Amino acid sequence: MLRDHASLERDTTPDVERLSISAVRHVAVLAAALIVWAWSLSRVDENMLGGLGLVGVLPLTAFLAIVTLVVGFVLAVDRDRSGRIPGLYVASLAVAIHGMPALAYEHLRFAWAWKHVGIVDFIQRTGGVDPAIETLPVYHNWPGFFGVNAWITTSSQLDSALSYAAWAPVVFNLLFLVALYVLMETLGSDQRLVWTALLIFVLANWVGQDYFAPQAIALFFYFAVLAMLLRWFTVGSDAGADPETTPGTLPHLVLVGTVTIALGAMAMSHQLTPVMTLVALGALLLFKVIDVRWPLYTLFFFTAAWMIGPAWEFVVEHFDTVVRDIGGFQANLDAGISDLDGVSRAQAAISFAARAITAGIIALAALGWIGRRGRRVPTGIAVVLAVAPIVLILLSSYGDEVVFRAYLFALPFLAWLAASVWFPEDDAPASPASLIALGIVAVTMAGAGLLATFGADELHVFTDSEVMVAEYVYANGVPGSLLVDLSRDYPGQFNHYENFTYLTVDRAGEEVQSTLLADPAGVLARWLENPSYSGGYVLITETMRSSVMRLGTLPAGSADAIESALRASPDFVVAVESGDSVAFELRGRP
Amino acid sequence: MTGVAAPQQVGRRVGMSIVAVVSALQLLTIAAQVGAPLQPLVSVLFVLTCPGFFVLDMSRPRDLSARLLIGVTVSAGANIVIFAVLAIGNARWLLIGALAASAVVAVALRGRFAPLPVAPTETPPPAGKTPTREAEPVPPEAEPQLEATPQLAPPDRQHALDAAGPLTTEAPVVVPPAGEPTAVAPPAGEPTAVVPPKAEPPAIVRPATRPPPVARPETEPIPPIEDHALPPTDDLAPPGVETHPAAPAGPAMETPAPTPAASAAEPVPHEDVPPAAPVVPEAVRPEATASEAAATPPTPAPPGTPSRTAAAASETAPVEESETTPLPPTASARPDEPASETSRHTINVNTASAVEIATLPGVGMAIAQRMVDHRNRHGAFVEIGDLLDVSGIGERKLAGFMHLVVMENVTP
Repeated sequence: MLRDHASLERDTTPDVERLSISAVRHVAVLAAALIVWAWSLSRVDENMLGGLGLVGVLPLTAFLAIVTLVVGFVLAVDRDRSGRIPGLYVASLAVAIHGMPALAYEHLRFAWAWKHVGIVDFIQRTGGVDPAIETLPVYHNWPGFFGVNAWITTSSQLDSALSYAAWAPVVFNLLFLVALYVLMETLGSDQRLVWTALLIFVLANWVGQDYFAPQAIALFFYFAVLAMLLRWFTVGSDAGADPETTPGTLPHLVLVGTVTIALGAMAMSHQLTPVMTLVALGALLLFKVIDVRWPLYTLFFFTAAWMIGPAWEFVVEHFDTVVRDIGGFQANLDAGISDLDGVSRAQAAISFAARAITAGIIALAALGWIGRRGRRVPTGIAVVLAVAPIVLILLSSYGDEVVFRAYLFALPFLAWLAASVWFPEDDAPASPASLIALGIVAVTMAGAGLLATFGADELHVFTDSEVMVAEYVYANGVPGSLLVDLSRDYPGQFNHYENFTYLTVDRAGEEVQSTLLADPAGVLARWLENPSYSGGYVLITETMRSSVMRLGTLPAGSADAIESALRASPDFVVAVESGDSVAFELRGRP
Repeated sequence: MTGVAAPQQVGRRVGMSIVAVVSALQLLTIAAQVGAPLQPLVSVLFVLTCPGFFVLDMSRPRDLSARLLIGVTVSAGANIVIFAVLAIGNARWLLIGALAASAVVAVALRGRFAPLPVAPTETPPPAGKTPTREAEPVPPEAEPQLEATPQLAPPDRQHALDAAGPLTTEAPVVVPPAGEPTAVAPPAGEPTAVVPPKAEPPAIVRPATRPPPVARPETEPIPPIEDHALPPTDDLAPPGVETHPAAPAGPAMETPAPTPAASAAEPVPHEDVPPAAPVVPEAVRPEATASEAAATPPTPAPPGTPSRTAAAASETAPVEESETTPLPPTASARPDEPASETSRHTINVNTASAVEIATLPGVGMAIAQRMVDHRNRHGAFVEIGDLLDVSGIGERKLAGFMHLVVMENVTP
């Protein structure tokens, strides 16, 4: 029995050589799949985006590459118990799925990301935030994420965060994997279970909270804090078994400091995540999973201190919006949750895919939970953390969106429970049939996930011409201007955004809309002539047209009607035009 | 552990120094408004070196994912905190925030560094069992107040220990080093510190005659010896001290063998195997610094005994030999007692409660519960490999704690 560590690790694989040969094969397959994937994405024509978004224009080879990665994972997961090869597959899938937009599209995907770039731009130019600002004040009051990006752009001499923001989803998903790997290892050390759960997480993370946004880094801190607490601060762990769990040692102090820093950074970056974290920490304490209370108190203190201190004026003024996070949620779900009448069939299909994948994961998680219960194997921590986000729904009146945010917070634990359908017990080899089932489920999930994640890209991906028009508007708008846009789905607010007051037609009340549509040129002229504005534009871009049509937020043909009315009106001139995007301004006013 | 720790400690110091220097550079460049190219360079350096925390002395040397997580979290988190405050642009908040945060952390941790109060209900531990956290591979530079644990064990843990009472009948193995009071005299004013606040798992010691079920990985140093090294205070001396007065003499004198507890942890025959040299200094650490130990060598120590610790250990060894048959519970082994330091390191997985098992490194409540379930369903664990049958324990995890496990099946 005298074995060193190395032999301990390997002795489940009697034939080391055979394993390494098959490892080489796996790596070769993996590399080939990634090369094919990258090559396929370079052939995507983003101007052809239609109802199914990226999924509609993706070359078949890209799907094949993703399916290859999923199948490779399934083939490796039961054989390589060390988890290295399956881990490689999962990391590659995270890059392959969430890196698609960065490779396929020329411009930053997602209007909200452009807006976040605008906050970074503001800090870059002014050296700080303006908590009392009128537009988008919430970001100025929780500026952690933007501050650090402004530092990156400034110190790297970049013009704006646009240079790298497209890669944020890849970075964030890899960060999630790091935190979740540590977290899942505390739930069970079976590497097959860990990596299958992470695979499901990667495939089912369709909620789109991983773009260039504060909630993404806050979500990482959420996972990181949970991982560190579950790893080093659980009940009984401080009995002196390890230096890092022994109070008073340097490693323990570093851990305490790391958790504290993560909590502080979270409280300074986002509003909703600290609330979720407080709920989760409370649940872990309630169920006696962890036995340290200071993280709860510390986070509560940070959150309260930040609200009472730097963000006080905002909190007083916008109390109802503090807990929730303004915007930032993938707009393709904003409409169509309750009624799918006004939306296109493609949009309905995408919403269905998103809901199917969500329901599927929850069903699998329930199955896994029941299966584990039958074997009397503890699942308590995962269940607690999968269920805790429900509190968010109860606490918030934020409607449908909070449901999906709660789903995101619960997803890793749902995924873990779902994965235990296949690996309920360590060391029990999975049967070929169950592996085939895993492959089918994973491929299906990948397909539905792609559709749910990228199906609405028509609304989130911008063409050269509209980027050019938007750049013109933002570069030439004078402070105090009015900007009328049909929807928020365009590359906006990324540069000198504070120069404008924004009036978005599809968010205005029905009364306003009907008044406007009755006499577009007259109403818009009145708005822009308002002397309290120093200038203004009416902006109509390609994506706005798709958006109002697809989401049914304006009557069919509204965009064209407004455009032709303005072209015909003597009050307006075209300020800039490119492709199907055009900006009008009042004749005779800058 | 020192044999392993030494290179790690050097690495950690180097790593921490680099992190500290680069962090300072980063703050300086920010404060001085230095622009390109210096600041980007320093920024990149900062992000790259934060994973210098990797070299932290963790119990699982190859736990890269955990170190990566710590490094990334510190790197991202610290920068976000700094730039959130800078962006708000009010230095007052920085100051107030820093003060308040340290106050909160200080309050949150305040119990952690205080000397332990003696729990009123607890009987004084036998001298030989004075608890030390130093049994741990604690990095030498760690503060000496390691015994100080913040709170008493939560009630449920106490109960679990009580429930595990029968186990402790096996504990007598830990015999106080009799007749050694001078050698082990505790630093003045420290008596209370030696009472562990938390209920410790009872020590299970393998009868000396029993062959070791499994050999430990050689890389693992033997921590438990120092348990006996701990200074019994005069007033804390347990009644049992006199009961084995003569025992210490004899065979143990020439072989500073591991204590029974140690032998449980490391079933290497101790007759001919002297303890690894590095073990001793650690054993001495908790109350007395190494220099103190050197300054006051134990008089009774036989020549060649590296330290009083070894001497103390040698005293107990013979007792252990004599106890090949299970002893009746003695006064020194009380169920509610933080029975012994040895318990800190060896857990009898066949009798320990889930709460006790959960104290093993890398084993949480969940896995511990599974071990208990497995035991209840399939009977006692016979050899170390049996633990691999438990869901959640893989080779890696097992390697992390197998040296702390014994498998006595004391329950019929």
